[in-house]
Amino acid sequence: MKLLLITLLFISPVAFAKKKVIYKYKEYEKFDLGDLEIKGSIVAPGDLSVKERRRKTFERNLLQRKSFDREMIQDIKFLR
Amino acid sequence: MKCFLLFLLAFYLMPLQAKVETKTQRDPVLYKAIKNYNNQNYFTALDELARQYKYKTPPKKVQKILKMLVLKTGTYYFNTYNDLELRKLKIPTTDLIMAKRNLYLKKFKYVHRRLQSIPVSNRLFPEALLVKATAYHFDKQYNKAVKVFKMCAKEAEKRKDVEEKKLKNYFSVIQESCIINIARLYFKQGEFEKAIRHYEDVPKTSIQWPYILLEKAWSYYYLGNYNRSLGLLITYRSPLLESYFMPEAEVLKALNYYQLCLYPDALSIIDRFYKEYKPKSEALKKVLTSQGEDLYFYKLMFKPIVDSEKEHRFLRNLITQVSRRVKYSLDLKSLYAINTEIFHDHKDANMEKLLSSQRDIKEQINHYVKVSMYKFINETHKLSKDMFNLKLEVLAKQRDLVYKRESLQTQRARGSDKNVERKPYQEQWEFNNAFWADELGDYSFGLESNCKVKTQRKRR
Repeated sequence: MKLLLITLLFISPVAFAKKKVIYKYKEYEKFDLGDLEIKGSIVAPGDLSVKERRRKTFERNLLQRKSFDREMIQDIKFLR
Repeated sequence: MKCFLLFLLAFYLMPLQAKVETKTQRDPVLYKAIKNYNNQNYFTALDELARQYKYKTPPKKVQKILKMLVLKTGTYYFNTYNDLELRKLKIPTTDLIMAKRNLYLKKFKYVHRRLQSIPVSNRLFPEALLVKATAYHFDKQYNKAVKVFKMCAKEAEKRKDVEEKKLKNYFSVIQESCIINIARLYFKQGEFEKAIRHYEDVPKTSIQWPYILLEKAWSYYYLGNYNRSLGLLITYRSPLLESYFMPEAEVLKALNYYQLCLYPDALSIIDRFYKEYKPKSEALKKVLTSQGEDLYFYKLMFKPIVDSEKEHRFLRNLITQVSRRVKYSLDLKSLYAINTEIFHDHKDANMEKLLSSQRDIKEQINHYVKVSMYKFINETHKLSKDMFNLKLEVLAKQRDLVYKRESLQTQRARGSDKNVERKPYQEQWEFNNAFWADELGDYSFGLESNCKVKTQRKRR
């Protein structure tokens, strides 16, 4: 038992030590864009078309009468 | 013997003298006021009592005399009193003044509190109900407002059977104001049919009737009955209503034509507004601002028609409008009462106070007339902006038609019976180039809406 423990004590740093990874990038890479192929289908119409947008109309503030509250007060003021 | 008799007489008269003395000593101001009242020195009596009880509540007896005095002098005396001074007096007149002030400040709770103390038997009760109902209206308690307005109309009608013409007019105005306010309340809620029904309860003989024509026309406008609206507005062109010219009526007329897509008609109304009303109102402004004379507006009211018309035609019309208002009549009544007291020249009359009161009321009338006139000028100025907006809108509509290669139906008749909407109770008569007094306010146009668009063929 003792022996097992001593062995484990010696082995563990070796077992858990991180392995040093070295990344190496390519120094030069060439892309041939003309050779690339995209898979799919064309959905746009062949001829040029522009969808007509609805013209925004700005309505001017025309005179409105929501109440005659002002006249009600005025009538009382005009009494005396 | 003679000596004995004199002694006896003096002995008998002594308690009587003492009684008079104690009465005078107990409340000398009241005693003096009663004496002045009996001598027809009403303003002097009111001034003495009001000054004595400025900051303390007068006893019931004094309150009663104050009420009697106010009937003779009018309420104008208390117009310059502040709330603190008025609060203690506790008479219906001052309570009503305070309630009104609170209404203008939108303090509705205090309006009701002040009006509580006005008894049903008091002459001011219908007016108090008018103020109370208006407070409910502004407080958005519409059901209560309608109920009180109806009560007000009923109470005012009960009191109309009085001999004095001015008082009769006063109660008529209160009654009609209450009916009109019910209509206004429904208008605010968008119930235009109901509003029209109440406007129609106001008789054509009423001094308020010319003003409500415009309000009724607005109701028809919102109901989409543009022909009836135009018909009501044309009433202002009748010779009988010449003095009632309202710039807002012109804007509404143009709006009606605009809604009927009768753009040339709308433009002609707009152009007439700019050619007629605006320059005239500006000229009137010049006339009014150039006057530096003391009490110019007060004096204007008493100028002969020929003279005031020479200055400006609008001026004469405005004077007529102002002179028909109740406030003006009541202020004038108070002024005449002061003048009578001055000429009466009683030895106990406070002449200094009377002359200052006379000046004061003249200034009040001057201010009231001035405000009324400037209000007209300002309104015209404000409405000219609305007219300009409408003009731009009409021009934009016409431009759009050109852009879309469309046109409105031009081959149409100017009017037809079939375009006139009529209620079962509305009669129909033909217009033969003459206005009859009894048919005023019942006109309707018969124009067809021109809003149907005709598409033009595209040119190749």
